[in-house]
Amino acid sequence: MSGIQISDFLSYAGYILEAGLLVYLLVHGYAKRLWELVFYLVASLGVIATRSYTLHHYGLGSSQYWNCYWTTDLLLVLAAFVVVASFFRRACFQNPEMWQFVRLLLGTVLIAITVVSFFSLSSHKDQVFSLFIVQFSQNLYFASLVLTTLLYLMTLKMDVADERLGMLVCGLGIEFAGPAAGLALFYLARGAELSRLVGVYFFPLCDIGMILTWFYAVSRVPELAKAPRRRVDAAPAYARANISHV
Amino acid sequence: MRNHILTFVLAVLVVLASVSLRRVLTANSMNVGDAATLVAIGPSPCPLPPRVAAIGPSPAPLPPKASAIGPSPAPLPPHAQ
Repeated sequence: MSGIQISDFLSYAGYILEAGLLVYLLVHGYAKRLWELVFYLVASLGVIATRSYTLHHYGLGSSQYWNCYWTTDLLLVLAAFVVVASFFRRACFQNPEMWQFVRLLLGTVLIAITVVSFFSLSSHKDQVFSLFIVQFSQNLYFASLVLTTLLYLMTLKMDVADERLGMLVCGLGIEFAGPAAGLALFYLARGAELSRLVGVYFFPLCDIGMILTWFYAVSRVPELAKAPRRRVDAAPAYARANISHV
Repeated sequence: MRNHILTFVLAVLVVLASVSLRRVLTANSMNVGDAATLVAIGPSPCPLPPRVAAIGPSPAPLPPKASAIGPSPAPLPPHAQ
């Protein structure tokens, strides 16, 4: 089996897993509780359908396909940013003041990324819009990667009781950090056979890793960890009376 | 006021980290639209489109590495093989 065939297999496996997870969420009534996952999966499946249609009708080298590909990529990165913001909100569920802070941070980051992306196009005045889409999409991708790392650290620091949230954040981390690590390897081993293998196998595997982690988080991990039993409850009645006087 | 300044500083740090990461990890490419070092999100059976220079009145030839990264079930165009 050639590398391209394995790459195709992995890509379509990720595609099918996404559809399967979406069906699972809808059938088991998670559509409202985990709306951000449904939103992201619907966006991703819609993007794949749109790209396939445009590729089939206009061809790989057409400007229509180029515009469609990177516009849909931008939409998908924005959807992922919404998922990150939603996870931040879940993490700050018991701390509204922290959520106010995080909300301001997310808005400022989004505006700053827009400004940086626009001003980095000073030498491409003729294709500002099309190149801005790529710049903005790529910058937002890496900003989401940094924010996901911050989110994970925040969940550890704040000792968030929602175990499922921790697993969902891990899944998102695989999706963002995996390709970044692959790019780092690609950069270090430029021109080597290793970089080609990374492109063929590693990127689709990151997608599959995220979907499987989300699948596990939704189906196996409880939403809230059981609160530890209070010592007073475990103590006998006479001891409880003594404790209550202390 | 102190919270706003802290938020602004943290936002600047996040943006700087993101832009630096992108610059380092995509350092192989001098062209902003070079598909070889762009990262696309999500599983996509569709291949990355050719570089930005291909759009416009005089399309440049696609380098062989342009489709080296990312899943590409569809056949490559003749000039890329």
